[in-house]
Amino acid sequence: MTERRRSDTRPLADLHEDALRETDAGAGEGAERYMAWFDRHVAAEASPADGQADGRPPSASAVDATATPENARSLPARARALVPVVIFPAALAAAAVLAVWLVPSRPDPAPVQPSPRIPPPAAPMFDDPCRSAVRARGDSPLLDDFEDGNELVALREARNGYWVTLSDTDPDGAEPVLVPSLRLDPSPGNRYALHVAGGRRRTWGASVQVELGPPCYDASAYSGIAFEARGPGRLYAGVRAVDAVPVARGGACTEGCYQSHLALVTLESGWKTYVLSWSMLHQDAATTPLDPRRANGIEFLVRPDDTPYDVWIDDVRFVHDSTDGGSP
Amino acid sequence: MSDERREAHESFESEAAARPHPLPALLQRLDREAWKHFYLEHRRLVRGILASVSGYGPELDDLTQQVFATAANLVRSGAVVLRGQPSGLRAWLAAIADRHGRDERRRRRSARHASIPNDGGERVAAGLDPVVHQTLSHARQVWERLPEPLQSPWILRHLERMTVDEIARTLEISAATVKRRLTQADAQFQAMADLDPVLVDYFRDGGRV
Repeated sequence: MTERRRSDTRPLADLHEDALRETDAGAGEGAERYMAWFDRHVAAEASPADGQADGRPPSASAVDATATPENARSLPARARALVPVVIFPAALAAAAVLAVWLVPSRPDPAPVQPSPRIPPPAAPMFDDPCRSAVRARGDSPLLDDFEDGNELVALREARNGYWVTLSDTDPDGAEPVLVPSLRLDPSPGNRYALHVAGGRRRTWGASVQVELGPPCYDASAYSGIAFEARGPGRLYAGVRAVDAVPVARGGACTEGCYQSHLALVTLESGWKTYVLSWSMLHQDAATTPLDPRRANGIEFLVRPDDTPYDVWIDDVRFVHDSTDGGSP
Repeated sequence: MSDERREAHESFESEAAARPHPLPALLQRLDREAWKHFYLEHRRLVRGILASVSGYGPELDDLTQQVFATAANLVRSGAVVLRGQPSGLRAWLAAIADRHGRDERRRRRSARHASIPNDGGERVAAGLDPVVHQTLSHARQVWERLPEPLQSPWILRHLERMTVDEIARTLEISAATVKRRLTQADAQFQAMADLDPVLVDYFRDGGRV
């Protein structure tokens, strides 16, 4: 009988450190690679227009910092080519480097032509989250029927987000999850639904939303969403595309964010099914149609004009053509 | 979401009231030495998060480069304005690393799913003690089965040893939410670990999270 090999019982964090150390090619090598990239793509192309946040030319101290051979690698690429020539004497190198460095920062000469590698300034330079979109197969449309009583969506087709409710009176940083409530008219197979209610809202209103899980979710296998709801009141419902989510939160939006594609539905005092096809959803301030291949989440929004509010939502799901009844 | 909160997401100004620190301003100006310092100071953090999320494979250094490249591009393109204190920078970078790690993991999964030739999946680090590798590998299989919103808090807390406040800043959620998710994650992790033969041995021998 072989003896079981004993575990290394250090905490997982220590084992993690070991593994990191063993796979590390070295900070110095990594830094050299990174700075080489930086010199090619950032430093060499930085200009007062896009590199200096305050629009000012480089400060004197920044220029001084390049005046030694050791720091000469921080120069733009065309300046680095000069370094071997002027490395001796040091004083001459400092003068040459200083002169070369100052060239692009002079305000008077004709504008420096951008390198062909530079993308247009307006083009955001980040990875499109939809390069690694998760695609729904189209065979499991239920987002959530809330019967599990928790704030997680139904874990289907890689969806795994949390329902949250936000309003313009919430303190900064609040992200309260929304747990289903017992319906007023429960039945054995349908006991829970989402319920939100509140008073007057004055800025942008209140919303119930869920991130689908993957930052970019391809829902093009479906033709729209459907849900049950009761009011009375008015509710905007629809999809938040990844293009409406700030880059810092994993989206692709750099300005005017959080403009979801929504459609207005008028709720009645009893439960009713609402079906919204992709083509019915639109943004307030833009005419860009929704691209269901770039979905990030589902949103229900009550605008200030429609507050106070008391809304129930249930059985949220994607739909295929000609499924489900009802209309907004 | 309030207007104030939206602005906070975009400016990373969590400690704006404090005395200005020179590093964010230097990074904002794309100062080369500042970015080098930034890289060297936070490289370990970025590698740790990437490895936790996507594994200890040979691509780890490439991914680390991508994270710092993304950070510089975000600043250069004007998508992000760096202000405040260096601790906010750390949280910002950790958030980018977390996203890159998840993207990489998804890429590998989809490549496997599509039967595309792919060397992804579990990578064995040369020279790493096989017992350590096995334990980490099984632990990752368990935390990967946690619901996605619970994974990052668990990893940042138990592998990166971040404080609750740091995790809250990194994930842009409240400290209360972090605590709640950690509680859920710990319970679910332990329940699943109890069914894993390697982790059962590890914990029985005295190992701990």
